[in-house]
Amino acid sequence: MSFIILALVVVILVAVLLVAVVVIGIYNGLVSLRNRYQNAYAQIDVQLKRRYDLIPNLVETAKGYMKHERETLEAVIAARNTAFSANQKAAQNPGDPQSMTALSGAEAGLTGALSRLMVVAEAYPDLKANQNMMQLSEELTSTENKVAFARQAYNDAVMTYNTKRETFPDNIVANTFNFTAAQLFEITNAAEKEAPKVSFT
Amino acid sequence: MDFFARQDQARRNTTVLLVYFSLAVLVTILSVYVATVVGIGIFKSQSPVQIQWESGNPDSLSSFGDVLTDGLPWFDKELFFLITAIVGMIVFLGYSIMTFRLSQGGKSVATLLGGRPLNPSTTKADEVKLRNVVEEMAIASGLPMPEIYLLDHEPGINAFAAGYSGSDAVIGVTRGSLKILTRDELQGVVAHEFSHILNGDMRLNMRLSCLAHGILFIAETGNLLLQLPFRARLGGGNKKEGGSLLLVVFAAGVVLAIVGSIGYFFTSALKAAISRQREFLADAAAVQFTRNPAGIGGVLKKIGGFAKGSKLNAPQASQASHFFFSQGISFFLGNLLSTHPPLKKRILAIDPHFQNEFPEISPNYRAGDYGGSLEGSSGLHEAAGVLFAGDLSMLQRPEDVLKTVGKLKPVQIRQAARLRESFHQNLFQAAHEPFGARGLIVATLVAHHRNSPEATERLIRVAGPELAEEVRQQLPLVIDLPSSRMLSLIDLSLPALRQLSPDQFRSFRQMVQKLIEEDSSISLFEYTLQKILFRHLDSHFSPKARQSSAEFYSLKQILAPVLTLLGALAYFDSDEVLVIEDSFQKGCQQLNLTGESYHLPEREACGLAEVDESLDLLQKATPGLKRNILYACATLVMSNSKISPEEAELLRAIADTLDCPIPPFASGLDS
Repeated sequence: MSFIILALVVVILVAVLLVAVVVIGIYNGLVSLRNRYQNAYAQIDVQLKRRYDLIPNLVETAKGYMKHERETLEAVIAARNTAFSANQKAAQNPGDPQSMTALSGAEAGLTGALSRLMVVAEAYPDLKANQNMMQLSEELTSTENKVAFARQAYNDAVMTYNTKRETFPDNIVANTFNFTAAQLFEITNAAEKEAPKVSFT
Repeated sequence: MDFFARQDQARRNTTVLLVYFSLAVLVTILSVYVATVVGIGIFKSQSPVQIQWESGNPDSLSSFGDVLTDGLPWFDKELFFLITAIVGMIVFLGYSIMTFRLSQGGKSVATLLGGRPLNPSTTKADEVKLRNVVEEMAIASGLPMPEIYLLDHEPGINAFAAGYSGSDAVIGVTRGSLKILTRDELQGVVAHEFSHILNGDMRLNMRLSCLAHGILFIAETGNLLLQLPFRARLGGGNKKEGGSLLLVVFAAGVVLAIVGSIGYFFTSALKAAISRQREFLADAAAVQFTRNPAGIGGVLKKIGGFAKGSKLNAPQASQASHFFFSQGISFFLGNLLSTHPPLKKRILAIDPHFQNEFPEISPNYRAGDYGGSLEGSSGLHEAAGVLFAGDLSMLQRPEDVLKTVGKLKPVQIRQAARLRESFHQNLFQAAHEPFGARGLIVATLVAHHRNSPEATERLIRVAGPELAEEVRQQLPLVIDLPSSRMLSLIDLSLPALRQLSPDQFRSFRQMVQKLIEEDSSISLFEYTLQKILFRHLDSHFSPKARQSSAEFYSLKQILAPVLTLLGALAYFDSDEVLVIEDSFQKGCQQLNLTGESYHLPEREACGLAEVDESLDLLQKATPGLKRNILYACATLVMSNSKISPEEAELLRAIADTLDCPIPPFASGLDS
C-alpha cells in the first residue's frame, strides 16, 4: 500500500514540477524577447537623435539662400520638434502602443516636411551647389537608411514577441504576468500612398 | 602554467566536481532510504491496523524494535530502487532546468540578473568608456568582442563574465562600477573578467551552476512538499486515508528538505573552494595583463570603502554568485561558502603594503573622467619596450606561437588601443551600428578582390541599392588596409551585427556567401572572414549550433583530420614537391607520428572544404591535444622559411577555430 501511495506522490510531484518547468521556460522566453525588441528600439533611437541633430544645421544653411521660403523652413523645424519630443516619450517605454503611434505620426510629418523642403530647394542652384548643404543632405539620406534598417529589425523583434505572446499556451503566462502587446513602428509616407496624379496637358 | 594547462585544469576541476557530485547524490539517496526505513518502522509500530492491511501478517503487533529486526529487512530492494529513482529524477530535473535556462549561453545569465545589452552605438560617455575598454582587451587578446551587459539597477561595484566559449561570452558590469571607477580601474575589472574567459572558468562556472541546482532542487522539492499538506487541508475532504497520505507527504518533505539542504551546503562549499582559487588567478592575470596593480587594487579598495560594496540587489544573485568579480551576496557561515577570497587577502596579494586604509566613498561619488590613461599612469608600459608581442619578427620558433595563445600583455593592450584609434573615424563608427557594419563587411570583401572598377561595381550591386551607397563610401577607406587589420575591424563589428533581427541576419548571411562564391574561388582571407563571422554569429542566432565539449582524448582518434590539416599547410607553404614532403614530415615528427603509414595526402584531399571539415572535428579535442596540433602546425610552417604574413593569418584562423585565441600580428602598423 505504501508503495502505491509513494507512486501516487511521485506522479503528482512530477506533474507539478513539469508544469512549473514549462511555465518558467515560457516566462523566461517572453522576458528575453521583450528585452530584444526594447534593445532594437535603442538602435532606432540613436539614429533618430542623429537625424534630429542634423536638421537644424540643414535649416540654418538653407536659410541664407531661401529668404522667401520661411514657412517651409519653419514647418520643418516645427515637425522636427514634435518628432523629437515624441521620440523621447517612446524611448522611455518602447513598444507602448500610444507613444509608438504618436511617434509614427510625428515621423511621417517630419519626412513630409523635409521632402517638401528638398523639392523647394531644387529651385535654388546656389544652395544645391553649397558644399555644406551637399554634405548635410548626404548625411541625412544615410541616416534615413539606417533608421529604416533599424526599424526593420525592431519590427521583426516586435513581431516575434507578439506572436509568442498570443500563441497557446504562452498567452496564459503572458496574461498572468502582464506582458502587453508591443506596437510596430511603421511610417506611412503620405506621398507614397496617394494615387499618382495623371494630368493631360 | 600556460593557456592550455589552465584550460585543462578547468576541465579537471569539472571532473573532480562531478565525482564529488555523484558522491553527494549517493549519500543523499542513502540518507533518504535510511530515513524512509526508519519512518516506515515508526509508522508500523504505531498503527498496527495498517500493517495487517498491508502485509496480512498476523504477528504485526510486535514493537518498533522487532519491526526493525525481523519485520522489515534493512535492505529492501524494491524500496531502494524506488527511492533511487525518485531522488535521481529530482536531481536530474533540477539539473535540466538550470541547463535549459543557461542553454542560451552567457546572455541567459545576464538576463537572469536583470542585465540590459549595451547598445554598440551608444553615445553616453560612461558607456562609451566601457565599450572602448572592452574593445581594447578583445583586440589585444584575439578574442571575438564579447557582448556587454549593463546591470542598471545595481549601485554596487561588481562585474561578471559568462558563457560556454569565446563566441557566446558576455561581460556584465554594474552601473555602480561605471560611476565610481576610473578608466584604469575599469580596465582592471575587465582584464579580470577576460582572464576568466581565457582560462575556461566560464564554462566551469556554468557547469557548477547546473550541478549545484540539481542538489538544491531536492531541498526545493522538500519545501514544496512541506507546504502541500497545509494547502490540501484547506481544500477539505479530510478522510482517514487522506490524512495518512498527508502524513507521508509531510514526512517525505521534511526528509528531502533536510537532506537536500545539507547536500546543497556541501556542494556550495565545494563550488566556493574551486571558485576562490580561480579568483586569485584572475586577479593575478589582471595585473599581468594591464601591468598596473593600481587599477585592480584600486577597485578592491573602493569596494571596501563603499557602503554598498559589491552587494547585488537582484534576487537571482545567489544562484550566480560565482560568476562575479567580487562577493555579491553574504552568507551566514561566512568564509566556508564565500565564492571569493576575503577582500583584504585579495588586496594584500596585489599590494603587500596595504594597511586597511579603505577610501571613503559616498553614494554620490563620481570618478573623474580622464581619457588619457593609455599613455600615462605607469612607466612599466614604456619599460616593456616597443616590442609588439604579435610582431612577426618575434615569431622565430614554433614555441613563440604557443606563447601568444590566450595571453594578454600590457604592450598588446596599448597597441590594441592604438590599432583601434588608427581606423578612420567613419569606419570606426560604421563598425558600431548594424547598417554600417554590414556595409563594412561587404566593403572588405570587395576591396580584397581589387578588381577593375566595372567588376567592383558589379560586386557592390549584389548588396542591394541602399547598402551599395554605404559600401561605396567605405570602400576607399578599407582598400589599403592589410588583411590582418580588416579582420580586426570585423572582430569589432560583431556586437553590432548581433543586433540584426534573425531575418536580417539570414539575408545578410546569404549575401556574404554569394559575394564570397562570386568568383568561384575562395581565398584564404575570404575563408577566414567567413569562419570568424559565421562561427561567432551563428551561435548567437541559433544557440543549438554550439559545439559540444571535448570528445577526443587521443591523437589516434583524430589522425585523419590532423594529417589533412598538416598536408594543407605543407602545400600552402611551398610549391616544390621535396619541400612539401619535408615540411610535412617535420610537422608529423612534432606529433611523434613517424613511420611509413603517415604519408602526405594528395593535394586534392587537402582542399578548403576538407580542411574545414577537419577543423570542425579537431575543435572537439582536449586543450592539451589542441596545443600539440597547433605546435605541429607552427613547426611545419616555420620549418623551411620565415613565416609570411599570410601564413601567420592562417595560423591565427586555425587557432581561432580551435578556441585558442592568438592576438593579431602587427603587420602594417607602425609602432
